[in-house]
Amino acid sequence: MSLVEVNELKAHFPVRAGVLQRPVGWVRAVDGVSLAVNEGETVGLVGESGCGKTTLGRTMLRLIEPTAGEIRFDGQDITRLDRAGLKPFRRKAQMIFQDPYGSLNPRMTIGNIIAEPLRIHKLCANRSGERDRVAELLRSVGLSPEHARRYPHEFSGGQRQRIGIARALAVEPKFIICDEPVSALDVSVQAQIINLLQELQEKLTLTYLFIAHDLAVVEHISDRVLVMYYGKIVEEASADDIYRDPVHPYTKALLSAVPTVEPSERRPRIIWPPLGTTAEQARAALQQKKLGRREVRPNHWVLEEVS
Amino acid sequence: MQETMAPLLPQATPLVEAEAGTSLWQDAWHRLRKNRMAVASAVILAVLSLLSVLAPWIAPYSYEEQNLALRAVPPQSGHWLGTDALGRDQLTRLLYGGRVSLMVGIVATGVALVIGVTYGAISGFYGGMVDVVMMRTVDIIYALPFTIFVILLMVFFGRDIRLMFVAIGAVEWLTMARIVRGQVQSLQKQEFIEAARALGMRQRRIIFVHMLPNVLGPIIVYATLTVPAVMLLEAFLSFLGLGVQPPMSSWGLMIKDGADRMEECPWLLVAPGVTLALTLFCLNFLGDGLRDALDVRTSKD
Amino acid sequence: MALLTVTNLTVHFHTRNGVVRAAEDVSFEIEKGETLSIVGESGSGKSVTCYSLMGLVPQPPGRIEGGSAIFDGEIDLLKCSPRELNRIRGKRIAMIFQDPMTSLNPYMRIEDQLIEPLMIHETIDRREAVRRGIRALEEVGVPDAARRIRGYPHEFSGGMRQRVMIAMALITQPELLIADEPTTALDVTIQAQILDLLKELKKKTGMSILLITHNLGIVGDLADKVAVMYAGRIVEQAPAAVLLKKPLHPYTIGLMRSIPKLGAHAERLESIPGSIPDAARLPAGCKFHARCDRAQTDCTRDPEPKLVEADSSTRRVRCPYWDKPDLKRATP
Repeated sequence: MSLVEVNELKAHFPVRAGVLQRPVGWVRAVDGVSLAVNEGETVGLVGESGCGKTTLGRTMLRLIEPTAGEIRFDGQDITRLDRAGLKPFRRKAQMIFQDPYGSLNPRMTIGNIIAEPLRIHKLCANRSGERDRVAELLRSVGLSPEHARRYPHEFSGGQRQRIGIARALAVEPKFIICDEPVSALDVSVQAQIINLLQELQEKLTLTYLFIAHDLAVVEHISDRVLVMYYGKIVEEASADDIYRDPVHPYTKALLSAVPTVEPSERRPRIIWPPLGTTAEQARAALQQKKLGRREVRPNHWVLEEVS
Repeated sequence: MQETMAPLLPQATPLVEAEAGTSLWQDAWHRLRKNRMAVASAVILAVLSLLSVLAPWIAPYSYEEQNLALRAVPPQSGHWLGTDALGRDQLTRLLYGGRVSLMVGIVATGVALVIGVTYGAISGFYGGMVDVVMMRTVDIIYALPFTIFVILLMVFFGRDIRLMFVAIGAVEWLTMARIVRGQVQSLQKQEFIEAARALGMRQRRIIFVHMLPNVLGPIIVYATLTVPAVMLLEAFLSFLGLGVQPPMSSWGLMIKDGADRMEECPWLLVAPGVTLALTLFCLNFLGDGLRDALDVRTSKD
Repeated sequence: MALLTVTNLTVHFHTRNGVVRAAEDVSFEIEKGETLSIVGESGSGKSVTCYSLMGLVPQPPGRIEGGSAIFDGEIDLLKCSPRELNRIRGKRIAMIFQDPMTSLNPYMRIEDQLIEPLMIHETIDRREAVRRGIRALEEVGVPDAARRIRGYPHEFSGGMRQRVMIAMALITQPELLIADEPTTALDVTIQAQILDLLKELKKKTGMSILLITHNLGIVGDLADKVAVMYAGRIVEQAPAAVLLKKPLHPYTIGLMRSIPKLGAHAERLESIPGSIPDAARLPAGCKFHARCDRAQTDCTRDPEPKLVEADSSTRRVRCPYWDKPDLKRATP
């Protein structure tokens, strides 16, 4: 049984207009996504801006309310639980955010930022226990306990991401959704954070859903990769297979667009959707046709039109 | 001299070697101190406030005292700022008037602050229909003519100075609510608020611990800019005869008297006019200085 | 004779935290038709260098402490009068910026913004300018150009806006295009299209490009020469293909190793330890020594190493140990 299971999840947002703000249309950010994440693995979710990957991550954590579908965590259906019912879930599933500048409250010391989850979930018996735990968390992400008294703006982007990771780890989660955790960082720092995430995964047996738009990063860190396009998963396979043998034209287009250092590694450029198709046409094609998942190779699934 | 090599640095090094961190408040304080106009304004305001507070002890006369022999005399010894038509000493009236004007400024702003911040925070935080209804209400009240509203209040409840606080406060909270709502809405999109939700924090905690401290900056700035607006309103009301009643004085009332007799007794207008203008200038410069000092943009190194 | 010769460009910022030495002794040349890419991370000085060429560095708090930037053998961009600079900016040297969302004026029609450089720099009547504007939009691949030129920026997607920016930059047929991270904010498929467009335009017009980027893949795709910057200094200069195949400076090597490559099957990425030094408090000696895996004791002492010729006459490296890749960091 998977640790996290999502079935036909939908997150649709109304487009409102007029004096009374009536819905005149819908943005189907997540449009029928099903996926499963097994304990200990890293599933990569890749796609370009507007594909819905960020919305999917937040909906899975119930930070955005799903419009339809089901989310199961550790066997339990958490789709419609209220705030009180969700509290134990909040200890088991956490998120690391993209923006190192916006993800920490600028008016709190980082010691307090990390201690807050400990206090809310009553994880420490007393003040000194809390201080020790904060020190331990800081050390585990490569920072020194003396930093606890400082404020976020005194740290670099990479260090702030580490603080964000420490905060997520405070509640001892099993599952962490990493939402573009390195996109806003310098290249040399990205490697540090990616390595840190991998080390922590080994040490603490964490399960990751890694959301990013950088294919190379996703392929490096993931066991399996899901490709998302206009709210739907169009291809799903192991990281190796996606790279070596992409099937869906969108996946092929993505891979062919990555600029390569080695001229020999260059792929023939594939344009998809075909030239001349507008965004609306592409989206309509996806949303109006009847689509189904097909296993084209062992453990390699593609979304196709069904006749 | 042989230098020893430091071992290869660990994965992360701090940028600042200071002992404890400097919070954004401390940062802002440093910046404010360097702003000479703001500091000068603060000093002047402090002096004016002090003089007004100490009015009962330092004023040469009582504010009711009338010396009918010396009616409407220009500045001279014994009456440094002259006297008004009823022989009351202007300097005394100026000092006592300051108490009224400043008190109206602070109290009415305080009322506007409390109502406005609460209203705006709720509207911005909950959004949706709640927000729509609350903001449309603000729009409607905004459209009501202030003067008529105050006159109606005065007519129904009599000319009580405390009513003036209510009337002014009831009008000024609107803009404060809009500002706070806007700030809260933009904060909602910040990831640290989402992180707070993901960690399972209650909404109340999120509002008070995470949102309000970050909204405080614009609130403080706007408050310092509201005080002069309020004082002007009070002056306006007194000018119309709806505010403070003699023998009590306020700067507004003194300006009214002075304006009435501008040709014969120009000195009656100069003192309160200059004082009010000076106070308003200082409050504005202080407000500007606070806004620059609290600019959170520098949190992005 | 090179189109642009920059010699010992030094830019400092005088802030309340101290003097930030944003760019120190930067020298490079761009020939006609050549593409030079400046690679670096934040704090490397790559943007400051290019902004100072266009006179866009606010002085104060910035100050160009020294150096020259000779354009076309005649004009020193750093020392000429504002009037002379304005004659060059937008006409002979054009610049495109990183964020397509904010580089266009949201209140003006595309048409007005697009023909603005023409109206300023050439004596031309409006109708002819609009005709050239439409042609420029077509050149950069904006469909239905004659109609869309009347639109506003918010009606265009990010990729389209970047194309409009490129059209705006190229409408006066400049000799040098400065592109500051032109594709960083774009999706990878759009990025590929923009890069293709730049390649095509380069071939067609023979213009030179000064390309700032942190993406080595783009460097391989587009650049003839590369200069790698770190903490305000150039640490390595070489022809692009040569540098990418065999980097010599420890920083360049570390940078290339820390980038995940598609299909590489690496277990862990090799990361450069530590972080970029605070620009107001740079260490003595080589600015990279704290993070370098072959630093020796003399690396920690002033004077800092100079750029020396390495491997061939077209390469320069700022490291005395560039030819000793197996050297180990000296232990205390």
